Amino acid sequence: MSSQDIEKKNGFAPIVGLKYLFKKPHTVRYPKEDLEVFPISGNSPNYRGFHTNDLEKCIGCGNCARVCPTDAVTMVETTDLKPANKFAKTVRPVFDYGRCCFCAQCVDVCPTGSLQMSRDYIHTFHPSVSISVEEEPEIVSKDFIWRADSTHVGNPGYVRNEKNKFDKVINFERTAPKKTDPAKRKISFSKYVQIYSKEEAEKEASRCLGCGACVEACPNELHIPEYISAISKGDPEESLTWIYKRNPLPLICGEVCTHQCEEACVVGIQGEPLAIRWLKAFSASNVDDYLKISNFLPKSNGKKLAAIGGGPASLSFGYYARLLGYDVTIYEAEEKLGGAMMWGIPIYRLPKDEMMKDINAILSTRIEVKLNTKVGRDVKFEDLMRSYDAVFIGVGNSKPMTLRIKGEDLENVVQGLTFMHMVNDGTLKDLNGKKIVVVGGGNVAMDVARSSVRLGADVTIVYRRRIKDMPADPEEIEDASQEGVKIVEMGVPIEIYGEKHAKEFEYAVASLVPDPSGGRPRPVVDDKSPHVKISADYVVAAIGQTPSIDFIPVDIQQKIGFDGKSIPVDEYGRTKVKGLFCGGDASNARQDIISAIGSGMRAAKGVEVYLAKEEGNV
Amino acid sequence: MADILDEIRAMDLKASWLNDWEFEVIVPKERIGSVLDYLKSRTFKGFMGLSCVDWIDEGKFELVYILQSYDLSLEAIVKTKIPRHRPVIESMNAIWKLCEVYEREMHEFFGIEFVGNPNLRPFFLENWLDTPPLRKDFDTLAFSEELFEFKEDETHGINPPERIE
Amino acid sequence: MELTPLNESNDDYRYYELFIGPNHPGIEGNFSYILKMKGHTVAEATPDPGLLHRGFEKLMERRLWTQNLALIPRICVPEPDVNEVAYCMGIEHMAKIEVPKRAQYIRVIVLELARIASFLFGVSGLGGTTGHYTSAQWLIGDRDYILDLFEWLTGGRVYHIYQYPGGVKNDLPEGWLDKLSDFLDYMGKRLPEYDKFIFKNPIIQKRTVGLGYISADEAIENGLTGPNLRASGVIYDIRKAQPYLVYDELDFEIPKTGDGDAFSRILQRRLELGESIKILRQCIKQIPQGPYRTKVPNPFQFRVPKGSYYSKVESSRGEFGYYMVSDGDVKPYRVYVRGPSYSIGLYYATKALVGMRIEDVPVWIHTTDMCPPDFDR
Repeated sequence: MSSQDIEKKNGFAPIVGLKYLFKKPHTVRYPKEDLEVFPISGNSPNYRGFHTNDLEKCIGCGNCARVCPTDAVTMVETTDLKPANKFAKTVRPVFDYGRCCFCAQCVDVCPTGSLQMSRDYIHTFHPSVSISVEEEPEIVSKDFIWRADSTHVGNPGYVRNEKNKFDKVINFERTAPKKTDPAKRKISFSKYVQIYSKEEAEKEASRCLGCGACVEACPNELHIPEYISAISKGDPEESLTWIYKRNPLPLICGEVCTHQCEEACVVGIQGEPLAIRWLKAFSASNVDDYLKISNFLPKSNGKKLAAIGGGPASLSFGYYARLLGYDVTIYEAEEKLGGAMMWGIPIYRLPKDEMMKDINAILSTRIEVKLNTKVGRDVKFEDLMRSYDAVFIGVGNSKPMTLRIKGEDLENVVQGLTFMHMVNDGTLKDLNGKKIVVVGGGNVAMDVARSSVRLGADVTIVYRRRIKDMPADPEEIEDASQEGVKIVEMGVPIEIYGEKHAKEFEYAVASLVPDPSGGRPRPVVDDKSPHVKISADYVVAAIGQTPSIDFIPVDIQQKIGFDGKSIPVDEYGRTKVKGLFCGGDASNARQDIISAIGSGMRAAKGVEVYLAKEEGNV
Repeated sequence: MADILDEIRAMDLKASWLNDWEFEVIVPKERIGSVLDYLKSRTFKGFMGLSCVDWIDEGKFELVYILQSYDLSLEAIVKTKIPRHRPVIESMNAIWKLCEVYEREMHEFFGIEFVGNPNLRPFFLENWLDTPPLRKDFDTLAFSEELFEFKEDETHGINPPERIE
Repeated sequence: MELTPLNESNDDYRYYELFIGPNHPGIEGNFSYILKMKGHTVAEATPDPGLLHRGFEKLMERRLWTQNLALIPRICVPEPDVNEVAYCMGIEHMAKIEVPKRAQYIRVIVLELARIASFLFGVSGLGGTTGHYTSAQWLIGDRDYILDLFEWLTGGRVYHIYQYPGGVKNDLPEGWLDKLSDFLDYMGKRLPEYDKFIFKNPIIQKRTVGLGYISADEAIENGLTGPNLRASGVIYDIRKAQPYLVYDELDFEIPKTGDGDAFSRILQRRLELGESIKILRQCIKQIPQGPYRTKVPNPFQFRVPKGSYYSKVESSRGEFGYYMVSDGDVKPYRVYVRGPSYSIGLYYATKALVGMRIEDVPVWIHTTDMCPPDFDR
């Protein structure tokens, strides 16, 4: 064909053209007929039309609003919904269709899969005749704004549900840290989880959506999105700066925190949550000198504070009080600082040198420490109250709860924390061939069981409910069973037999009765329940502890309202006695390190408020 | 193909391959005219574009000339930096006439003076008195907030969830 | 009273000003030429861009790398996919992301389909400017079949937002390739009808043959690319010369017309359309199974390493280039868009239109397939 190639004139050409009269038109007469080109009648099965949102499933994380390139999504407070889970917010996305460009990026980034798009796209608006010209734009623009709900759910279009969730832009698979083989790790106390390499950490951090759902779950509300983002950027120092704002024990928490944040992580709804804890450990272990990055040290303001106990609560209190300018003295009864972290946590989870790295960084802010000084024995509590401007109690829980069964007073029936102390200070060196029964399902029970395995024992955990009801970390439970720990579900302790030493342990297999008030199901033992006896050289009861504050005079104990279980405090850690503050396990509802750190930090702020009031500055 | 890069390096210029058919040359601003002229004589006859990058922290504008050789099937990215406080550079319209419009655009959006370009009148923008808009220190949000009247109730009475500090 | 004799310098009425655009059927988008006319002949043409300027380059600096994917298709309305592909290819080069084979094939399919759609759109516009309205209706009608395919594949008809760094957003739906194959059969039957009806049509030929002749040297000197350049006899196609995606695995030719006038420009496009159909048929046969996207970090954490790159794609109008600079952050530091119509629309037109008759101006604009949104970005 070329430019000279012209169609010859042809007398029949108009007749040939007639055939087009009988061709079907390109268009369809909507709504009488519809497009039939797709597998379903109408528009594409993948159409990006109006949004649908499963309001019950949506957790209000706001990722849709943050990813929207046109700012068309706003998160609106709702009152008519009950939250999907305990971390869910009550806000829901509202769409402004005057701005929306239907790009579906919000659907691609929705971690719950509640937000979808439908095939519906027709919107009509009939303004009333009585509306004046001035009012109209306002009314029209309001008409475009719509909270996505299930209206169009019957006509799904661009959908990213459970089936094709991997089409989304979220990465659901976790980068697992390298772990030593169970067979190898069960014979040694050396640390078995390897801290992320730089590549692994950056890969894992890059899964973070940055919505901050974790922040609200964290007992001390750490700046989690910020520090993860810094890791993803490849800057562990910046990351640690963010962590240090609310947590002075980054490496310890990185290794053994109870990671509430990971339960709240939105990526975990359809996939595996981010390994927030391991990422923190990565930051902390990759910065050698914390103080270079920690805040500058203010001059002493001349006020003196005392902290009783050398655990995480007191250390956190000491650090933040020191940052506010106070001189802090920590009184520790044992020969080493660390409290429960020192004596309660086995070294295969938290090597002592890692722990001391954190503690030494805090101590280098010139905090005075008095070791081997038990308040009440070596120094009087009243003296402390008199000679310091404020006193902080961070003694933790040292009085173990008892099983309250027959045979508990036999030898070799020990409490969980006592057992761990024995393991950690080296009094218990060898359990080769011994049979150990651990009662309880918390992290202490796991620590006891796994430490015993490492000492050569044959371990059985007896727990009252099912494995999935255990308060211990699922990871811990999994690792424990990998190492050969046997777990007996729904076993209620009945009696321990033996003459002088424990010999046999008897439990009953209970049945679970659902709790009418919505809590965990209750184990019930009746006459029909089978009883099982197993031989036991040691029985370890790891079922919780209560604080022991015998060093406080009884009149003050009554004044502060101690009920034997915990010390009541307000949000600033203030007790009912002036100038006396409390934090840590002794006053916290959740008994873990991060809550203790949080209470210590709040108490440091409380001291500031209290002393300012005393001087009449407020 | 590789010898073109050797030739450029022989002229005491930094040059590197970006991929199989694209290389970049970094040229001091005094020599930009001669280098472009040379490249044109070496079959880089197609002028594909002129871009500018505002390196505000460095205090420099980076001008990027994109040239195409139809004979060698190569793309040359020629870069030169000029100071930000006095953005003046010679015009290339003696080499490529069509440079005129590209330079006119960069003059408008970055405020760069092209000496020798007869036609630097306003182009895309009308009555523009503000900072040249593609500079990094031009704040689009502040500009539109100042220029346009916003409805008070822009958020429809709703605020997005604030993160806890 | 003394009368001054009229001459070239003082006769204001000899010339008059005429606006082609901003709303004109001969121009896509809101763009205008201010023509200084002498009688029927153009004496001076001044492009007046800015009416369509949306500041994309600045807007992109304020958005995340992947958020921009919703923005950039709007730079070129008739053929939005080239933007997405060029942008994603640039990111992939800088971040060293491997794109799976299947994704590359899907991209080729999308690009070639877009090329056909763009051809149909462009030539239908020519129908409007030559009074040949039936061709406008035919071609737009056939283009809709392509939009149907796109709608099925991506969920959107015009702005597909389908590419993503590392691949494409979702796999081809089941039965989609069959449908594509049916469409190609249909196009195959349709092409002889187009030829008969448009390209061999005496009216179209009268209006276009010999109009706006561009020599090969002139075309290079004025920065013309794509079919406009090839119609002048410079056989240069990025798909062949610097093959990206999987074009080196596909067998196709670059047709030769070489007359350099308006007719050979549309003929060049028409012949390339045949090659596109050939490419698509090969893709249907050769497309491998496997993953269609390499996972990249999510939008909030997606950082492109420091660097810069000029990524380009052969669009239906010529070289569509993205010069991108990253400073290692989640947002681009600078994105420069090189629209293929820039040099022809803003520079060459001021020369080419001079001396042309007014009725030829829209025809000339349409045969160069100029798309103002890509330079008035």
